[in-house]
Amino acid sequence: MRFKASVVVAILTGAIMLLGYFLPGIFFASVRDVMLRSGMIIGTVALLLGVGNLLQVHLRKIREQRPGHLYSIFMVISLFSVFAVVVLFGPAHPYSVWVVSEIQRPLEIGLMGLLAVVLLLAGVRLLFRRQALGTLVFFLTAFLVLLGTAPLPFISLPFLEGLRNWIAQVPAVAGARGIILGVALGATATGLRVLLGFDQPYER
Amino acid sequence: MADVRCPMCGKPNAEEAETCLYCQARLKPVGPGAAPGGDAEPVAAGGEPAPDWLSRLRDQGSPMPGGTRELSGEPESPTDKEASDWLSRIRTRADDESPSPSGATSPAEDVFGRGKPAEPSGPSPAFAPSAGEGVPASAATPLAEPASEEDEPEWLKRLRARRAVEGTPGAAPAPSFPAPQATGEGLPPDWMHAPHEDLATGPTAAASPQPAGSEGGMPSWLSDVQPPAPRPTPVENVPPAAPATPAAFASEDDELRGAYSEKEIPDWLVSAREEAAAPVAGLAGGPEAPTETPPLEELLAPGVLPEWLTAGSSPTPPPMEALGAGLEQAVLPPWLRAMRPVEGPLAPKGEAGEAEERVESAGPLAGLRGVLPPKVEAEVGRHPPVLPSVLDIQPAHAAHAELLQRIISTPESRAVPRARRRPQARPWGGLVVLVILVAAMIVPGLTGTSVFARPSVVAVETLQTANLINSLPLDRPLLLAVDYDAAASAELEAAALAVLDHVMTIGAPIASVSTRPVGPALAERLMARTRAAHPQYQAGINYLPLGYLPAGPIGLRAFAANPWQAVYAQSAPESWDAGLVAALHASSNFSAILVVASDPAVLQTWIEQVHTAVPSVPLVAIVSAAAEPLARPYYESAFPSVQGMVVGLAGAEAYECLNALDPASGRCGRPGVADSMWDPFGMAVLGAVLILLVGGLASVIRRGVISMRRTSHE
Repeated sequence: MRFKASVVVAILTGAIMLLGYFLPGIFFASVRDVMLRSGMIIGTVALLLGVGNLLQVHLRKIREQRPGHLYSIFMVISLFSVFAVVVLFGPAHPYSVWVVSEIQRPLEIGLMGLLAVVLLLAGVRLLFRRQALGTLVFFLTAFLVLLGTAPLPFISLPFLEGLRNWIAQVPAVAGARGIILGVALGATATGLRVLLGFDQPYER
Repeated sequence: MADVRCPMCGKPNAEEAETCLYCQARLKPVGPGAAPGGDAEPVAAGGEPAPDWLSRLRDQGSPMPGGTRELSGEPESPTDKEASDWLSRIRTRADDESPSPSGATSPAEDVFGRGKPAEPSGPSPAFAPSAGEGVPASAATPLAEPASEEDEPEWLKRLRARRAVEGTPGAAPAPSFPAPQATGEGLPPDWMHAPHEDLATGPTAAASPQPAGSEGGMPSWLSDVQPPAPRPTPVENVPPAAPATPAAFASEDDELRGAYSEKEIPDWLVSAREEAAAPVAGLAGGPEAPTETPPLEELLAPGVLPEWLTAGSSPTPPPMEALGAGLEQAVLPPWLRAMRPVEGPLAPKGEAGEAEERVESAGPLAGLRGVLPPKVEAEVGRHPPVLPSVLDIQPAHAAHAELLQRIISTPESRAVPRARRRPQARPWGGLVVLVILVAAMIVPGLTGTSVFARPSVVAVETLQTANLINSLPLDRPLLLAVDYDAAASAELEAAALAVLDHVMTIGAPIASVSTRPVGPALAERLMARTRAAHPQYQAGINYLPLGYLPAGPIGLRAFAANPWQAVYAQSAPESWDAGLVAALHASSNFSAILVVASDPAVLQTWIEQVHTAVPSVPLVAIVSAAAEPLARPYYESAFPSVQGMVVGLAGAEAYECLNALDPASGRCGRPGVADSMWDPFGMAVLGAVLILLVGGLASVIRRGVISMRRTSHE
């Protein structure tokens, strides 16, 4: 088997981090802290590299006059403007907060509201296009959950609230637990494969 | 009592016998020339007795199967008397030369094979009747008798042997025959044509004058010394399939002529030539001889053939059904029946009896039917025909083959999937939904009415959260994790503000951190919105904004190990409270961890990376209604990782009510952010419920209408 330094480094790092969870001691704790801080720095630099790559792509798009380059112009202006405000005043300055509260937040909330409209319309169309048992179950579940969540005018129906809570806490939680367990098992298997050298995602 | 010799076997029989006692051959001829009295001695056409030379010839006892007389089937004419002397000499000589004990050398072979030139017309010599001319039964029958080589007469065997020696099996017509019309050098004399031509053309040709150049009956080629005649073409050039013909014998005569000069010709031959010219011309018959032979069908008609010829063979064999009447037909299994070819590879091509019906077209047997055994047919060999195999194809196999053919023939149709029809854009539907929802949210705000009832039941997790906040120590900071997107801020800010209002009410210090880039700004927004009700909370004094924590899970793990190093790693700002900053050097110093998350995965990361490091610090989750199913398992487990939850706008409304609950009246006191959003939220959800209800009814009605139309059409 050919010697690979990257494999050795990955296995040693994983083993030290794993042992740091189970074995008490200053050695493992100090080594783990050094590695974690290094990882945070690398992650931050990677974020900056990502921002630089995004800027390069849009600058090329503007330079080559590709379709949609006007949006790229707006993106570059926004990037430099927010970057300058946060760098100059700090992330908790009212100027920085104003940018987030008055520009970014309404935009994202508007998109979320549009998603609600689209989902509602898709549910109605599903009834027209495919009338099957699954469609009926989906429709009834959405109808009951919405009706149990929404406050009714002038009256209160605890039965509907209890039904909504039962749907959200029994069948939905059962499915969610299955998903969580599956994710945990998959993460464990993947970690073991990386620790044993079978998978080398850092080689890609 | 005079004996009559059988023309077939030569054995004596009684004079009145009609058939031979030994070979069952008919002794009395059948036909127009047959004597009704059954005379043993055949007579000429004129009723005169046979000439002396013929009688002598017959008395010599030569069976002469296939001889001239038998072949022609005619009585000798009176003119044979003149030719008797030379012919008898020739026969005598032939008998002397022949080693055959039976002396079966055919006179025709001696006369027409050695003494006449070859005919140019190939396979069908003129002296023998062709297939179309018919053959007299009395002559054809003996030749048809042998069924194998052992049964063949000796003369036929010698003829085959000679062919084999000459290397011309199944001899073809000699291509080097001298032209009959040519009279140049090296060609046979005209007198040698005469007997043969007489046989074919009758007395007219026999009466033709002597050819020019002859001297007193002596042929010109004999009077002059001529160079040897050109040899015939080598055997290798002869086509192999041609039958032996008298022309081959003529070529041998040419060789003899070329080999001997005139002086070397013996006297007997000279005299024979002198005597043979005129008498031989009448050998085939006199003027009374029939010029035409009756057709074959007439000769083979019932009643014409003798009984002995028709008795042995049945013209119509019994049908196979009659033969196998008592047998049960075998049944082959289906798999063997499927493998069986339609026709055997060596099955004969023709019908049964074809070999027996074959008419010889060349050689001395030309015109005779069925004289050679069927083995000749087998000797030729026949390649097995290429027969198509007819298989029993099942319908399923045929369907598979058709499918495979379709796949091979049209690969493009399978490679390119059919483009799905894009659903038509219906902007009016989305617009209607949008208008309904917006109107539902605007109307309560414009009217200022509050028609929707507040939640009457507070969830257990909400009560536990309120109790946990009430029990927080005031000397340690509470960690506020703002890990939600700006899109979910409307729902989560209401819940976070309700809990923060409670926390600020009791006066616990707060430190905020976020793993999202927009988190610090959102945290500042939260603090700014609560600052109106709680102005004592100032940054650095009782509120520490730790900012952004990069690297996701790695950053959280580092934060759990040492929060201060993970965020700043440097000295704190001078304005900050030293006691709070000192508490940030260990995560266990936090009084509680309040995670506001829109994504359950973020909550999971906080639980796995931070709460496992400091399990003694309680963790409260403020999540959206959509994230509740994935967050609740951590709350409802036997060893819960989450000690309190506030879910969605309903949880926020309930928590606000708990914060401002009037114990005397039992009603919610000061309205909060969640309360201001409650009526628009209720109206929007009701609008969505109505849209779903109307859509469901419309789909049911549409389906009913379609089914009714279908029923009416049917």
